[in-house]
Amino acid sequence: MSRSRICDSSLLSKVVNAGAAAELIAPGSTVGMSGFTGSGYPKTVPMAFGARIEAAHRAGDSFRVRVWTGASTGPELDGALAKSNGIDLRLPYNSDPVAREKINRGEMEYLDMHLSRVAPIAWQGFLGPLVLKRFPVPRNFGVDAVSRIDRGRIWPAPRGATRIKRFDVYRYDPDSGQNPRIDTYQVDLDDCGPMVLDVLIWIKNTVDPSLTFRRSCREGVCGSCAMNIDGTNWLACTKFNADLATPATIYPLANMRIIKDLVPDLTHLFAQHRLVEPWLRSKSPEPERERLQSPQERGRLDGLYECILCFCCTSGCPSHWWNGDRFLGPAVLLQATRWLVDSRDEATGERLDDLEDPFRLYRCHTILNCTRTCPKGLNPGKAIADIKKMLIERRS
Amino acid sequence: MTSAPSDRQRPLSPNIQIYRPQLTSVLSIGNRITGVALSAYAVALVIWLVAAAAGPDAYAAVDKFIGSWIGRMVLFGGTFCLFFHFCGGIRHLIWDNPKNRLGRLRQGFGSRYRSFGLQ
Repeated sequence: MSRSRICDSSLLSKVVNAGAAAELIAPGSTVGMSGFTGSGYPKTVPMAFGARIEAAHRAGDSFRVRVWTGASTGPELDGALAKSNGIDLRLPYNSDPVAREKINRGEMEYLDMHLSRVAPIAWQGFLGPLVLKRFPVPRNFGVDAVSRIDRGRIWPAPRGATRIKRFDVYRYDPDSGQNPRIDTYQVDLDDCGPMVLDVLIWIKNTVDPSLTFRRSCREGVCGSCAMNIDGTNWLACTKFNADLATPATIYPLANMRIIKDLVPDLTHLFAQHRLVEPWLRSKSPEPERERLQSPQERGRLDGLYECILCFCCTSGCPSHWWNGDRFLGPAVLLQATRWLVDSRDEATGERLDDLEDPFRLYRCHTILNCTRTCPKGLNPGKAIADIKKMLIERRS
Repeated sequence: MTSAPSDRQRPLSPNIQIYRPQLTSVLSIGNRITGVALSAYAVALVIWLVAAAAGPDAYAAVDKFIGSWIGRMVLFGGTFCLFFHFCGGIRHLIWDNPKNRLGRLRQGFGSRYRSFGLQ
């Protein structure tokens, strides 16, 4: 029968008889079994396992396991294992007379709880650390051990919701000691605003208060809520949910060390920003009044001064992924251009000297992900090309 | 708890695994790959010329390979790479021209589509 029902040969090769299956369970294990009335729980494997435990006890070895089930089971499971004195701890429910006697005599630990509480309590770690073996997924190919992403939990939609959209969100909790994971949220679109940021706030308010992200202005002028939405970087507050695929995927800015959930560590990027000295450098004596500009001189700053340093572009730049330690990246180079073309700045030569470097500037290979992803509609790729032109013009 | 938060390195958020390929990025990496392929193709061209110089037997052997379906695939791939790289080069010439006004975002995109159409 199994041959006709299991098509995958690798799975078919794992089919064994009950005795061999019982051999796989080590002493001290926590064994989870299905269970919901007499029809839904395993019978032959627990009975073979009970025989194995009895044999071990006769040989003088101690052999006990902890047994978790979904709900009630019967004599072939609880009865067989309790008779062989093999159950150390049982949860969440028992209806077997043999096991009941052992529990009442104190020979068996028992946690009596509603079955709906088992999963949350297990996830929260009250039942000891959870070690889950999972098949590797392609998104973790070549990724270092601490950055590998596990499957997370699935949060159901609220009762009565009709317009539901699924959001897969990257989660990382530094206090858990566990790897990042992808949590799935079923979001009630009728109960929240039109933007991705509205969805995140809705999740935080109504589903999962631990979800962590940066946000402030909610209108695209502060740059706090930059993140990777559906595969490209954008501000969550200016991205419409209606424009997203289903399921929508939300990751933190790409290629960043993550502090928590959607909050990246931007220290390195601000250090790179500091490197181009993004302030007015002047050698002439300080004037009595403002430094004046003509409308044309001021116009040269258009397309540059609007940058809000959200780092969507730098985070989307493959060149910065591979050489981020030395390549300054589009956001910082756009800022450098902003000061290079400023008529009031008197350090243009020194600035160009600092940038003339195979890595700092010339790792830009005009991939132009930066320009595609800028949520302010700026063109960092062109700004970098302008620096290159200034360097060539200076040489001739 | 496997370790305290302080001595655990922060995870790196995924980059190439999740970042959606853009027309600009695909054409950029395509330009690089076709450039590398053309370097190898140049070696094949030299082999063909050397065979022609070495005599009719050597030339016939190389000609037989070129006529096989593998050889025809190589020829087709080489031609594709040549034109892809050629159009990419023209695009870069336009971008690098100091007088070009195509640098703005959406217009620059148009030239990308145009060179893609040429290919």
